[in-house]
Amino acid sequence: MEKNRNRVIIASIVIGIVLVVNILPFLWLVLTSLKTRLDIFAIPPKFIFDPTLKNYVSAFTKRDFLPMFYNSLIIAVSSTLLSLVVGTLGAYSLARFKIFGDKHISFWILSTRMFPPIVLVIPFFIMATQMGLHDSRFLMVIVYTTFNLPFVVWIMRSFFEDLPFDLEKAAMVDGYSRWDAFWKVALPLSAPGLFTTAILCFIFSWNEFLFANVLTAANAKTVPVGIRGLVTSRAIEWGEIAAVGTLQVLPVLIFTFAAQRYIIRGLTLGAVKG
Amino acid sequence: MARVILQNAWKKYGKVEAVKGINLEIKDGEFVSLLGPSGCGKTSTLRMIAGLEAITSGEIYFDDQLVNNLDPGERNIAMAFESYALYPPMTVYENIAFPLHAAKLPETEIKERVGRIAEILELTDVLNKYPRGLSGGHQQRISLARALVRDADVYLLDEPISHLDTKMRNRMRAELKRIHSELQKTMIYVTHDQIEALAMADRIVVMNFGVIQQIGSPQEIYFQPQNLFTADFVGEPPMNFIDCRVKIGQGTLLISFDDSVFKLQNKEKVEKVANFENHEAQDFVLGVRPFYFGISKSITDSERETNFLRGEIFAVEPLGDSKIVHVKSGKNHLLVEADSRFMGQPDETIFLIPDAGHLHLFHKKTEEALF
Repeated sequence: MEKNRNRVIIASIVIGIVLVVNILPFLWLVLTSLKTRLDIFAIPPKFIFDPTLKNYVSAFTKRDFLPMFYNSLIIAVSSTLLSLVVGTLGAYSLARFKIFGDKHISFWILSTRMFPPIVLVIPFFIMATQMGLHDSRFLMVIVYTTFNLPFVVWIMRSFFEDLPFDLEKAAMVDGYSRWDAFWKVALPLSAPGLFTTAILCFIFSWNEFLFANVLTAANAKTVPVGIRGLVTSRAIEWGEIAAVGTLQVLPVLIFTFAAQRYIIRGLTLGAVKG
Repeated sequence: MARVILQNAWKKYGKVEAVKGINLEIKDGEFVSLLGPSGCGKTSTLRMIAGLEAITSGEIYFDDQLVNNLDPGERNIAMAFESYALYPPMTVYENIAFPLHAAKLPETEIKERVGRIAEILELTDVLNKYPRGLSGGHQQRISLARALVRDADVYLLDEPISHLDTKMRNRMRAELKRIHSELQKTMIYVTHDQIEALAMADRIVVMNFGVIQQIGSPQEIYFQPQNLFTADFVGEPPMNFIDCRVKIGQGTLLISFDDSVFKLQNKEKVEKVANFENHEAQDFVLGVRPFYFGISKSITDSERETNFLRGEIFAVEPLGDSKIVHVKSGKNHLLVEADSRFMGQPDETIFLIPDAGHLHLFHKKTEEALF
């Protein structure tokens, strides 16, 4: 009993430290977004103050963050959907069909993620300007999809490989086509994998800064680039940075909580194996 | 309704030859069992018939139609998988109804058919549950129900009752046999359990190492095994094998081993050995099923004139209605199925009297049976 209680206490302390380390910056961000300029720089830091929405209002009136949020949303959602559709089909093929050199194809797909992204910035920039795609949402969707695809293919491939092939074979024996077997049997069973990869893709596209900074100017400017713009030569607008940052984190947070139970991998997979 | 014909069907996985040129004709409405140890090619054969495995060479016909290149869905077959292959996100009802939806049957008919098969297989209570939480026995019956609910030409059953407990298995054997006699459909049943095959099949196909060892009715397989493999694989407890030499003198076949000699005067059997080239120089194996040994503690003079074996009891296993007696006789360790009233102590001397009509003789090198 004694030993057990000690263990609980130690675990609580460790978890507490981890929580503080992880949540404190976020709390700081949210608090800062609700503070006036004076309160932000107050020493010692104020935890009790008169909250204000001034920063939020000015981000959308004085600055142009509404179209940027719109851009971010369109680009992130489109890129996620495109990556999932193409990647899932590719992953299924790699998992289920014997293709000449399929191991090498898989590795090649992964290898596209191996070099530092910055290496690609300039080639992408040159190609984009020559094709007249610079500063377009379409370009950003394509760029992010190239980064998301390897992710989707690798995660979904291992998911499909874990599914017993007999399930699909049973469906095919029963008169369903190969597509039906994929659509009605394999895909619903890999929902946890699908949700996990969707969230990862969305977060990547939503938060990406480097490529957006180089490849967009005005029309397709995304929120991370916009936030960078708040560091001006006159001042650093900490209040607005915090306000936009808070809004930036919210969709990811909601998305993750909503899909949390699907993310716990293996819930259905274990049952299939019986 | 369909005949299934395999002509010189081969299956190779890279260099591994799983099925080596099988020729088999299954009649319309027949219940055929593919029997063999694991890795013998029986499941590969079944999957080739189903169309789940491409056949490497050879032909498969349903009636007169070549089906080599038809997809599984186009062959009008139903299959129960050993791994159950149940769909976790669907309820038991939805699982069983799944193939009927593919056939686009009206909802009322689907409901009726699922209800009927669920009743036969005792699944009515669990129709609204998910397969995940159910026992292996339940899951196996759901998988069976999903195959039997269909109106298919050929039913392929891959070890469909192997994971049930003994009691349920015995019941399901009868249930399946009954279902077959009612449907009169072609059924191909894969099993490694010789009792299941003997109990249910019209004909048994014994396989080993990708080759058919013997095709025959349960009677033929049991009483006239054509080779050592079939003789050894079928029957529980297994057949006794004794290395021996043969000789023919004055129209009598003499089978000698250790210091015993069995004499056989059956004309047909004597002739078979006589026709075997150079038989006196060859090694043979004598086979006797444990059931066809009489066992006694003493022996009469008239019995001494016929065939008998002397040995010592090694151990006795009482099994209720019968007792399995292990007997040491010379170099051989023999099993004898004795009456439950038989009493014996280890190391006691006893005499074994074989039933002359149930002796089997195999050529040791080719493993083929002479009789």
